[in-house]
Amino acid sequence: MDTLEFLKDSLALDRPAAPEAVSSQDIHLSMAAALNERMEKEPDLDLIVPFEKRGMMRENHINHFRYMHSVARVFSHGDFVETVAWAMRTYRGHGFALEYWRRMLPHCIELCQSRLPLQESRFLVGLYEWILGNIQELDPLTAPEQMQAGEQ
Amino acid sequence: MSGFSHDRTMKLADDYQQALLDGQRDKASALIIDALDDGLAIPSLYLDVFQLTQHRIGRLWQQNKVSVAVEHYSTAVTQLIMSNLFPRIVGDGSAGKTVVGCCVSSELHEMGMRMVCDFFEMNNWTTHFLGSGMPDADLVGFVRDKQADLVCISCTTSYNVQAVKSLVAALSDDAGTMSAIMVGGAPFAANPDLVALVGANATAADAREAVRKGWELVS
Repeated sequence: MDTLEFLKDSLALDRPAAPEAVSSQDIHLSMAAALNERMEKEPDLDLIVPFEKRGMMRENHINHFRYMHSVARVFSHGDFVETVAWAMRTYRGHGFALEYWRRMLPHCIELCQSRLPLQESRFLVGLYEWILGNIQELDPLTAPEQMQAGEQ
Repeated sequence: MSGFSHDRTMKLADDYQQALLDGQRDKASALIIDALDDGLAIPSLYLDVFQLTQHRIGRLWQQNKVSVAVEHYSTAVTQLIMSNLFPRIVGDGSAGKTVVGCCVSSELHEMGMRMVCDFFEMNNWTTHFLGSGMPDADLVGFVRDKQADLVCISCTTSYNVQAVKSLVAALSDDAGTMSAIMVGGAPFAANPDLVALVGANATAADAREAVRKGWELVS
């Protein structure tokens, strides 16, 4: 079994309960603005996100919360793992460091906990914690050199 | 049977991609027209050249080797060529079936669905390609008016999957709409379990398979 399939299986086993109701997309998108504000204040941001890619980072945060809103409504563990791997591979290809996710994801957890209903927050926080707990496994899978070698 | 060999088709894909990356629209177009004149079949052109090239250039963007501008330019050139080729593929509607194709919600990646509709056109279905930015209610009304046998919905970006679910629900809830619903795009190709989760009837990996499954759904 390859790493991607292993990760899919591990997420399927740990899958938190899906929420019965999901907040509006506007509420999710408001978290993107808050995340941008927090990340802009991160020390040594230039070391983890190339300065010329700041706009890409901000746009990524909008797409990120769009995606998490979608995930709360339609969840497939396979799709989640593949999308996380795709996003990490893509943004690392554009110079984002792995440390970016280590700093960004805890902010996402706090924002969910402070802005979303409990059941929805628990579901999404469970997914964020899963990513944080598997960054070591995701590292080789999403390294830019993997993409250079033609692995998708 | 196309007289165009696989190796020659792959060489064409390489040359076509390079012309796009070099910003040489006229050369790219000439390569395609010459290949068609030499016997390349249009379905092969779509899947083995256009689709392959789009995927490769998308990968180059992912690797930070080309800009979004180059990617969009390449897409625009290919769409221009496809439009110019349309008179060569237009069908006669003799299949007696109607398909409506669109991209969900804010999904901007419409070339895949355009290819799907063109493949149905080549198989003599009556086709209606609506592109992207389609409001759900307008689509439902259009599908009802056309009495479509099949609705194809494309979704490339994963964050639009929930919008597919909403659109499928809107189509299914409309009493005047009896269409089968096929969904496609990267999330569904990689994770077919999403098809049931959004309430659709089927998915297809590419335009050729979409036609085959379309026939299965409406027969």
